[in-house]
Amino acid sequence: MPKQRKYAIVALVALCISVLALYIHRHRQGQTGRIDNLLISLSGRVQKQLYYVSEGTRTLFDRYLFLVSVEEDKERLMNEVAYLKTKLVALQEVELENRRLRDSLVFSEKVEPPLLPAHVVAHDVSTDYFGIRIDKGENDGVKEGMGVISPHGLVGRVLRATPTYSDVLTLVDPTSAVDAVIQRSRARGIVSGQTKDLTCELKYIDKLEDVAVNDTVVSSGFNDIFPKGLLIGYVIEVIPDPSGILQSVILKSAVDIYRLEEVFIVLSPTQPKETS
Amino acid sequence: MYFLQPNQKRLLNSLNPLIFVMAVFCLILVRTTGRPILPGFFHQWDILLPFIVYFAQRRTLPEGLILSLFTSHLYSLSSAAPFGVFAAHYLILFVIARLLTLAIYANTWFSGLLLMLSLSLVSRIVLTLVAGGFGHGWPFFSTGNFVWWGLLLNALIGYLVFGFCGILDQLTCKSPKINIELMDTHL
Repeated sequence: MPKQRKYAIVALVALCISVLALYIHRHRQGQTGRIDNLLISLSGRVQKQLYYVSEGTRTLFDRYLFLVSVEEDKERLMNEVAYLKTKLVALQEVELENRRLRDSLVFSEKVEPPLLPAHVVAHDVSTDYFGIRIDKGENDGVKEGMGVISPHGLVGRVLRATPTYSDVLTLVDPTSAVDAVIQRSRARGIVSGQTKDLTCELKYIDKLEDVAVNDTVVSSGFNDIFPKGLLIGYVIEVIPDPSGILQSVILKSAVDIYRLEEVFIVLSPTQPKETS
Repeated sequence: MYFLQPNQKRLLNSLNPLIFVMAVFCLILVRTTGRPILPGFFHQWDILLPFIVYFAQRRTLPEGLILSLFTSHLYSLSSAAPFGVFAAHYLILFVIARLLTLAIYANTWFSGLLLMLSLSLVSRIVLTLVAGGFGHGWPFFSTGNFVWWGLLLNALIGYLVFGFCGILDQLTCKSPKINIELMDTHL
C-alpha cells in the first residue's frame, strides 16, 4: 500500500473519531438543542397524521375483514365476563374489609397520581431499540424521567421531552430498567428489555428465591416513578444458573407496544398523604 | 434532463444533498408510522444502511461524511437509542464502505448485492459492539441479533435503494464520484 494512502486512511479514521467525539459531547446526557426540537416537532406532526392513517388501515382490516374467529372469541369472552363478575363481587368484599382494617390501623392512603393522557404517534425507527413518540411535551407538563403507563400495565418512562412531543423508552428496550417484585413471593429485581423478541429479563434474582412460570410481576414503587403494584408482565421462563448465585427470569410484557394507541403519563411521583 | 438550461442544472445539482436528506426523512416517517400495517419481516429493515454505503461509494469524503453524520442524527432523533450510538455505528460503516471502494466496484448488480449483503452482516456486528461500548449492549449471539432473512431483506432492499440513489443523482444532474476517481485522489 503506498505511503500516501496509508496517511489518507489514518486521516480518515482520525477525522471520523473527532467528528464523533464532538457530536457525542454536543448531545451528552441525551440533551436536545433547538434545531433537534424543531426536527422532532416537524417529524412528530407528520408522524401523527401518518400514524392515524396506519392505525385506521389496520383497524379496517382487523374489524371488518379478518372476522373468522369473532364468534369463538365472543363466546370465550362472555364466559370470562361471567367469571370475572363473580370474582369482582368477592373482591369488593375484600376491598371493604381492607378499608375497614386500614381505617382502624390509621394507615395512610396512597395518593392517586395525576395522569395525563397522550396518543402514540410513532414507533422507533431502529430494529434494536423500542421507543415510542407521544403527542404531549414540556408545554403539557411532561418532564424527562416521568413514568408512562397504559390500562394494560407499565409502558416505560419519558426519555426526552421537547415542547410538543416526547420520546418514551419502553420497558422492552434493552436500555430500560424498572424496579419490580414478583407478586406471589415478593422477590425483588430489575426488569430490563432484551433484543427483538419483545421479552424482558428480571435481573438479580437470587437462585434461592421462589419464582415459577406464570408468576405475575408488578412494579415495586421504590423509585417513585410508577405507582406500586402496577402490572409489568408474566414469567414465561426460569433459567437457573448451575454455577452462579442468580437465576435468569424471562418475562412477557403485559403491554404490546405495537398495539398501543393511548398511554398515560404519571405527572408527579406517588407520595403518601400526610397522616393526620 | 437534457432540456434543462445550465443554470437550472446547477440549481438541481446544488439541491441534491437536500433531496437525499429529504428521501431519508421520508423513509424514517414511513418506517416509524407504518409499524401497525407493515408485515413483521419489515421490522428488520435498516433504512439508512444503503444511503451510507452510497455516500461512501459515490461522494467525495467531506460531502459523504457530512451527509452520513446528518442523516444518522436524523435517525437518532427518531430512536430511543442513546445519542452517539447510531452516529458511531454509521460512521464506522461509512469508513468500512469507503475502504471497500479499493476492492469492490458496486457497478454491476452482483457486486452491488454482494456489497449490501456483506455490509448488512458487518452492520449487525458493528452495532452490537457499539451498543456494548455505550454500556447498553446485548449478547452477541442473542435471539434475533442475526436473522438470515433480515440480512437478505436488507441486502435486497438496500440494493434497490442504492439504485434509486443513482436515479436521484441522474435526475438532479449530479455526476457521482466513481470508485476509480476516488482511488486516484482521495479515499
